[in-house]
Amino acid sequence: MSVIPLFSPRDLSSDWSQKELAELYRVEDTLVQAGISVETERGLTEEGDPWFVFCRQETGEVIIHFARCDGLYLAVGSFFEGVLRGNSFSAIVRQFLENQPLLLTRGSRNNNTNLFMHPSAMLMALVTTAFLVSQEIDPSYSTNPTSKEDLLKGDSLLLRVAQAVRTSYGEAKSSTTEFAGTTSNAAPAALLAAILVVEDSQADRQGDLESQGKNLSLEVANAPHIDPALSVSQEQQALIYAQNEDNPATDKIEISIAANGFEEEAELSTILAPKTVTVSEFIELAENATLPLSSFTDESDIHTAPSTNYSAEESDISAIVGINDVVVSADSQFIPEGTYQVIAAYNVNYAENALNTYNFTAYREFNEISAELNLYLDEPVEVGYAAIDRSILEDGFLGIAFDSVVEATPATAPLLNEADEGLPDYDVNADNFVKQFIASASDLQVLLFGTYLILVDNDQVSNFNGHLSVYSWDFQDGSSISVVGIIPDEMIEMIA
Amino acid sequence: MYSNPQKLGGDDVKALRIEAGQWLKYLREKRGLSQRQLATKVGIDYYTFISQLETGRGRIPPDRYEAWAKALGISSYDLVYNLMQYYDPVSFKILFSDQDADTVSSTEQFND
Repeated sequence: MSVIPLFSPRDLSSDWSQKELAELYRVEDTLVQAGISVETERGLTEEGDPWFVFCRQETGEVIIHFARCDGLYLAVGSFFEGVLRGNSFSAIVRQFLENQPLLLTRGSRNNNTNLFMHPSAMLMALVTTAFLVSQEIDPSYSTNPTSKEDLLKGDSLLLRVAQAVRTSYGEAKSSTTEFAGTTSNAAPAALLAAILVVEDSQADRQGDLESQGKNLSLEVANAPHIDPALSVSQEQQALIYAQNEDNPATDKIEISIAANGFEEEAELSTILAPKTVTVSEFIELAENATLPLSSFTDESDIHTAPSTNYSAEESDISAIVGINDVVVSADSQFIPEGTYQVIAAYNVNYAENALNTYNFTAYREFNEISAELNLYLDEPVEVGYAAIDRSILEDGFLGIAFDSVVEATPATAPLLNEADEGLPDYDVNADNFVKQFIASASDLQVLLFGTYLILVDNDQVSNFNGHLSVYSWDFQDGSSISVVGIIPDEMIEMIA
Repeated sequence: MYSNPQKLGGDDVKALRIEAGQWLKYLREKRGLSQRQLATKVGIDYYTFISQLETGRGRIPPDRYEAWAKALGISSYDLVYNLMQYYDPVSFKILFSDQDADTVSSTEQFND
């Protein structure tokens, strides 16, 4: 498999070709439509070599410089050292990507070590990365994170990539993937977004290559002061609860996943950590397991759900009320040491013309007391359902309120052993494992939270009827990678 | 690639950067240097950056001021003094608004 050159080599000392300019301006258009304020400028040197720069619109700051010089394409950005050179833009981008450690996990479906990348997508990712990272560099934007908690407090970033491609059967195939992260890890987020596009385009690589990437759209939004660990995608809701009350001495967190009205339950065995997991790690896991929405068919279903205890002041809860949905979430951060707090997130969907169908989709509750860790969730319920104003519902709007707030049970979980070694290092075996996981995943979801990268086999999770596994490794820079899905035994042997 | 954006009105920044670019081009041509030669002298390995600067996009990294001054045949003081007018007019005004205009600046020569 070869990399498709974005631009064909041209004569020395001539301006950009119309095709080259069209591609570059298409990147600009796409980014501007995505709300990224970039502008471009181009020119020729006195020797006739062309250059093209992308700039931040508000400051004029050059974020990336492309040029063709002495027959070679080059790129210089504020977010990487040196000058990237190659005989095509594709070669430049590939050179850049190959220096990203997170991307070492990326293999093609054929386990070929060559990266298949759609040039347009990669070029867009490179420029987007330049923009986002230059934003981080800008002191007026920088959150200067020093810890995981700081990362989560930083401006959260939502990066969504959508692509509609034409398959060899002439059918339109669309794909949308969201990445939630912070501006602090914008670079890998942008790159990973592009990777997913590549994943889609792989399926179409036998088709009309010219059409690939033409339907690519990229949406990037900054969502300041929203804790990404609490953000819940409407499309990818998870209902997860962890319960270790019955077995406080367990050496691993047992996480149960309920789906289809909570009738189907199964354990999610996890080796996320050898002994236990931190709250942060649990959040990463909880946020990224994906299940279909749990549906209630009528009010009685809702009322049969057992009540729950939780402690959360109403002031801690924020709600976004939309026409068809209400998203309620707590915007507070981690629990201060020695205090007690529960964070919950709800999403109630109301489908007009449906028989009072409510999708109760996301529920998480945890508390943290000092170094003591206790993760638990009661049965998910419709908290404060009685307070929902039916008249509002019938008008197509939803309201939600919270009542009967009582303090939750104090933590009883074992002390977190800080001497635990944590996740295993990401080594060659892990790399092979992840590559195979990616190659075999039919619907791969890539999630990035802080410095945590999670690869989820959506197909396996959505059609969940067995044991899901989670495997995680640490990178030397402190980031981690996890895979979530059904892992065949032969793959497990790779890392055994 | 150096990055130090100035948060001014977009048109103001653009106009100043264009002026800075024209001034740098003036100095380079006065020195008899090609863009490629200047790039070599100031240690930039992609000479298209010179063209970009002269168009009014981007700015000279501060850690290269001395090299640029030497290459363009002016003092570092003159280079920084004049560039500050373009790159950081706010700071320039604060620092130099009350100063007697007895500094021989290359800007004056350029404007003449």
